[in-house]
Parts: sequence; C-alpha cells; structure tokens
Amino acid sequence: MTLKNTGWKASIVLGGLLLAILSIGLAGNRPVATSVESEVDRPPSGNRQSDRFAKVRLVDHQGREVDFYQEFVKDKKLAVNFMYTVCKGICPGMTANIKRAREELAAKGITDICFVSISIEPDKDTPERLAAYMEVNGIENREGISPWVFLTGDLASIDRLRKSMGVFDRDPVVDADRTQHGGVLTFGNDQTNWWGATPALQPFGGIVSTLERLTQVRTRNFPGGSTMVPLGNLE
Amino acid sequence: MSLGNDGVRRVEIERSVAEKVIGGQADRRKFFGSATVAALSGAAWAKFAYGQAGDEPELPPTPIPVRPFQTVLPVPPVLQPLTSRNGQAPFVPGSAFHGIAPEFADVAKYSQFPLKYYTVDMRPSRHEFIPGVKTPVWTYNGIVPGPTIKARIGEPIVVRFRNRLSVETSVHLHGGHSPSHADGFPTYFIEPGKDRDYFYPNTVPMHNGHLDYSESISTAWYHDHAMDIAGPNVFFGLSGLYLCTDRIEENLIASNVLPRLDVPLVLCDRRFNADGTFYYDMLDHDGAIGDIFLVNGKVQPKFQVQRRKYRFRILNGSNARYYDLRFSDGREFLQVGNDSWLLPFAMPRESMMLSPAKRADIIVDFSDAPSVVYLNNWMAQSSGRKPDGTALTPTPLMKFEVVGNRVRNDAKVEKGTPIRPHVPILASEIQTTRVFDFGRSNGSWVINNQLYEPTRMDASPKLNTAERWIFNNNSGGWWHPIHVHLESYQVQSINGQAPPLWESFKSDTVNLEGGTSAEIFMKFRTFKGPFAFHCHNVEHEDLRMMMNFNVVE
Repeated sequence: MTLKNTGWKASIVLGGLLLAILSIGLAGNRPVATSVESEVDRPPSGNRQSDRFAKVRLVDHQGREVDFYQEFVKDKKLAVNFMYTVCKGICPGMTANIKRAREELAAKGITDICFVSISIEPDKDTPERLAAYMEVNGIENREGISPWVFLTGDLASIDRLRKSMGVFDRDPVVDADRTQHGGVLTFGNDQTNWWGATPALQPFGGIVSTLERLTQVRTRNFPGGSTMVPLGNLE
Repeated sequence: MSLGNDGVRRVEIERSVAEKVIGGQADRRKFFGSATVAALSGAAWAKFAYGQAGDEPELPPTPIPVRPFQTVLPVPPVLQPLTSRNGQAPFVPGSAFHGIAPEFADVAKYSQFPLKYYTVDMRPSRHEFIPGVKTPVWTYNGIVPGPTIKARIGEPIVVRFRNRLSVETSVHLHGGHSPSHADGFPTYFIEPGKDRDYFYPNTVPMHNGHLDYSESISTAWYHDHAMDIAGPNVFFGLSGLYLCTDRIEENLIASNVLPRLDVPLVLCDRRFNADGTFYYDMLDHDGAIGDIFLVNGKVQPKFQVQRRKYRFRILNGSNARYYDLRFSDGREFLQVGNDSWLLPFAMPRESMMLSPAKRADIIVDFSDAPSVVYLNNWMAQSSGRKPDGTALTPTPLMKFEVVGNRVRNDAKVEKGTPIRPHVPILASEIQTTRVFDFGRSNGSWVINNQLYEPTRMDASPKLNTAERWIFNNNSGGWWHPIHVHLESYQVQSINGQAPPLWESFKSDTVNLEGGTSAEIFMKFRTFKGPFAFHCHNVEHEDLRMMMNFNVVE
C-alpha cells in the first residue's frame, strides 16, 4: 500500500532469495530450504499495522528526545499504555500489573518486549516527574528484564499517537475525560505484524499469557505436526 | 493484474442495474451510477496514514475495482467422513485431546450409531474473493467458508481439528448443544502444530422423561473462538456451516412441505489492500467493518434459480456488520428458522435485520418473480459501533437470475405452515434471575463492570433448572449482539415489549441496541460447564465483553 510496506516486503523476498541461494550452495542437490517468508508466519492481512502509527518525537524520562517509531516500534516488540503520574483512578493498578507482568515474563526468559508508558498529561509530567514516578513505583531498567520507558512530549503529538494506536473513545466527551482514559496495554511485534490490546487492569497473569502468546515470533515448522492417520477428506 | 493502485476506487455498477435495484422508487436518491464514487488523490490518502490532521482513524476504502454479479455463487462442499479400514476406527477419539471428558465414555450408551470421524486442517491458503485477485487466508481445509459439516440428531460425530496455523485456535460450534471440552471455550486452545478432537453428540435435552426434539438444531455454524484473537481469526477465514437435521425436518422435506433446494448464504464483509491482501486493523476494537460484500466467499455473486421455492440458510458471518435484508422487488418471503432452530410455523417477512452471528432460515418463492431479483442490504454502517441507519440506496449482495417456466408440484410451505413443535419455558419454572450489564470501561468492554477472566465463573446455574437472565445495554451509542453458548434461550421481552414473533421462540443471539434491555428464559439441561456468553461483535469479545457460566449439579 505504501512505499514503506513494499520495501519491507522486498527486503524479505530478497532475504529469502539470499537464503535460498545459500542453501543451494551448501546443500547441493537437496530441495531448496523454505524461505524466510514461510518460516516466520504472519497474519494474512497485508496492511502493516505500524504504518498507521503517528510518527512523533517524544521525550523520555531521562530527558532524551526520541523518535517513537524508530526507537520503539520498527522491527521491535512493544507494549504501550497511556497514563499520568497523579492519576488516582486506574493508573496505579495498571502500573502495578504491568510491573508484575514484566517481571513474570523475565522469569520466563522473555526480556525483549519494550514496555512504554506515555503520559496523557504531558504538560505536568516532566521527565523529572516521570523518573520520580518510576522510582516511587520501584521500576528500574537492568539486565535480564525487558526495558520500560516513560514518555512525555506535546499533547497534540501524544493524542495523535494514542488515536493512531486505537486507544480512544468515539464519544469525544468520554475521550477527553482523563478519568475514563484507555486502560489497555497495546502490544505488538512489528516483525510478525501481530498486534492487539489487552486490559491492563486484569490480573497480571492474563497479561503475561497474552504477551507470551502473541508477541513472540511464530513459525510453522511443526516438528511434531505429523499425524497418526492420513487425511482422507481434504480437497 | 491491474488493481488501480492510483487509489481510485470505481464502483462499476451500471445505471440500468442501479435502477432495477432501486425498483424505480422516485424518493430514493440516485444510485452510485457508473461514475466514480470517491476519487482519492495521493493527498486524500494521507488522512488514512495518520500523523496529519490527527483525528480518529478512518478506514481506507478497498482500492480494487469490483464488478458485481460476475461470479456464480459457490456452495461450500460438504465435509466427508473418514472411512474405517478393516473395521478399525480411523483414529482413536481423545488420543490428541488433553484429558478425556466423561462424555466420551458414554458414546456407546448414547447412540446405536457408530461414530463418524472427520478431520479438518486449519491452514493458510489463498482464496479468490474478487475475480482475478488471490487473497491469503486462514482456512478450514483450504477453503472459505470452511466445508459444511452435515450432521443428524442422534448420530454423534468426532472431528479432529488440526491447527497448522501460527496462533492458538479454539473451535466453537455456534448454536449447538456441545460438551464443554468441544465447545470452543476461549482458552481450551489447539496450540499451533497440535490436534484436538471435538466430540459433537448431536443430542437434544430431555423434557419430562423424553427427548425434546423441539431442541434439534438445524442451521448452526462453527468458527474460531480463541482468547484475544477470535476477531482476526474469523476475519481471516475461520468459519463454516454446521447443518444438522432430524426426522421431523426430513419428513417435512420428504413430504414436499420444505423445498429440497436448500442453499446456504454466508454473508460477510471484508476490506482489501491494493495487492489483494485483507486490510484488517488489529487495533480497531470497535469492530471490523468491510466495504466489500461477499456471499459464500465471493464478491456479490449471481445465482440462477428456477421458478419455484428455495430454502436459503442465511448466516451473518460478519465480525461487526448488521444487515437489513430485502429483495429488490419487495417480495415477501417466509422465515422458517431463527438461529439454529426451526420455528413452530412459517412466518411472512418483507425485510429482515440480521445482527452479527444470527442466522435466518427462509423460503423464497420465485414462481412469479421478474427475471432478475437482487438480495439487497439496506443497512448502512461505517464503524463497529452500530449501524448508521437505513441506507439511501441499497447494496445488492447478490443477483438471482430467474429462468424457465413455473415448476409444478412445488414445495407446499406457506404462511402459517407448522414446522416444528415448540416447548415454552414457563415463568413458573424460573428459579433464578441474573442481571448482566454490557458496557465500556476505560477502553475495554465489560459485563457488570468486569473484564473477562477465563478462570472466573460468573454464574453457576444448576443442571435441569430454568433461569431468567436480563441483558442491559446501558450505553446509548453502542450495539451489542449477545450470544450464549450451550443452550437455546427464549426471548421474553425487549425493553418490556414482546419481541418480534420470529424471535419469540428459540434464539442463541439477541441484539441489544443502545439503551436496550432484553429478558430471556433459559434451561440448562445438557452439559456441565464451563461455557462462555459474550458480545458477538467479535472485536468486542476479544477485548473482554465476555463471561463464563458453569453448569453444576
């Protein structure tokens, strides 16, 4: 649909060709290995979800300016929620759940999902305040656990990003009401193009299993996939 | 393959066709005509890419020119059972199942008939929805819709579903009395690369010590129900029909009351990219709305009919779209089934609103029809929130070409013809009342302000009791079609008023318009839980508008 999409596909085809050439070279007469395209399985939708994301520049909790798409989305695994530091509604619960889920995922060896919390009250949530929020909530970035970044910026950019990620209400009154703001964790894997959202307020175990299932790269090489009975009724 | 990648979508419906479709009604606005409906320049496309004016997402129209009525309506093939060899079962049921449910043990007692064995592969494939355009899909046995499973009450079957996709699946037989382990409970996954055996007993519950054949299912369907991802899985192609029959229905056909000509019409809407792939927004939690209309997996097909009565099993297989169906010449038709169940008698209809997942079993008499009749959708809908209302002009979903002379000795069904006895659930039988409020909370969908939690049981009805459930949709702006697994239910009232006649008997899905309340009676008589009930706007279901009930002894 867009040039970017075409480029992405072209690079995969190219990669597949390279791999095919390599495997011919290495394996002699053996059949050509399956291409990368068929090994990494994607949903059959052709639109790249992240093409829809607003391309905005934001500021992280260390005061560093970041290109949201380049830094957190492109070819990466991501889990995003929208919050603000003085929220007395759903944010404390969301933060606690995400924190616990991130730890549980690390215990399962999953340390490559970038968690991003974005302030919807960015005029008040300065980088210093976000850093303090992290400290108060015991959120630290270290080896062996997925990174977690807090972002602020200008409200218009954040609103655009939020809406482009499907976190909005079609009722403008509800959408503008911060107490009713989206309590979902929007996640995805830009390589597999599988995206989704799950409530951040559910028991953390649900977040863990959903992220574990749907952010990981899937293949369709099923070693145990052979069946006991030959198929008799396939077209 | 030229797909008009200049972004121009042409709606190539000729003016003459359009006039026929409208039926010469002067008060309707002109049909689309042959002119370009929306010419989207590169600049106009920008609004679909975001980052510009930055308002709510809008869906990009399918940029592929579509010519309606080019393809002949296909009928999904019937799934054939595996044959046994040397008296051996083709496979041992349950061998691939993680824990054998007690129902398996009672198969011999249940029926004198031997089990029939089937396998269905869930695998990627390609399908031509639009002529000349191959779309990658996820399928049951390589085809969309999946193969039709034909079953008979009293004859249990076992289907080995083999997941060759890259995500978890769970197969729900929608509108059937299935044991919990074979009901497609959201987390009873078939993991990628694994198999799972689904045991369909094709049974009916007991009533006063006898089998209650008023509960025999007729037009059911199977589709994916996996936690979090039923929306994309169904959209990508995982659905098919499950048609069941019994002696009552067979007798109606044998005695020429119901027509032998029995054609399923699976209605779906989809959206496509220029390269023919599906456009599916995985972060649109309002519900996926397509702009290309499919019947049995083909865009606006044509179908040749004789001058006689036909039976059509219509399924709204869309994720979030509502249909308002009427024939282009305004002809009356008969409804003989609502959802899975045949009605007590044939009822005349002229238009029919079908919410997602609902089925209507109808009889259309073409004996006096003009040579061309269209099945039109008059419901406009631009988002998953709810329909926009009656369209200014209809969209013809398919074209009937009526040929030949009037056929003699046609099926006898007419207004009021008895079809299947009905056993009402009486108010005096009700032991428990439960209230469920369907709403929205912080961007997710909730019931009684709770998010779906697969391990939590939200109701535990006792086996062999009847309950009153009240479904409230307090949000003004959203519509929710509510589906309950396991048993049929009998709608008592909608907003305190008696429901329409065709919805007064058995249903498995009832629509809640904004601010609507529905009262249903339900009897739990077949299997013990857990089972789910949920909104059948599948994207709402995925974002947790679902609850569990556990039928207990």
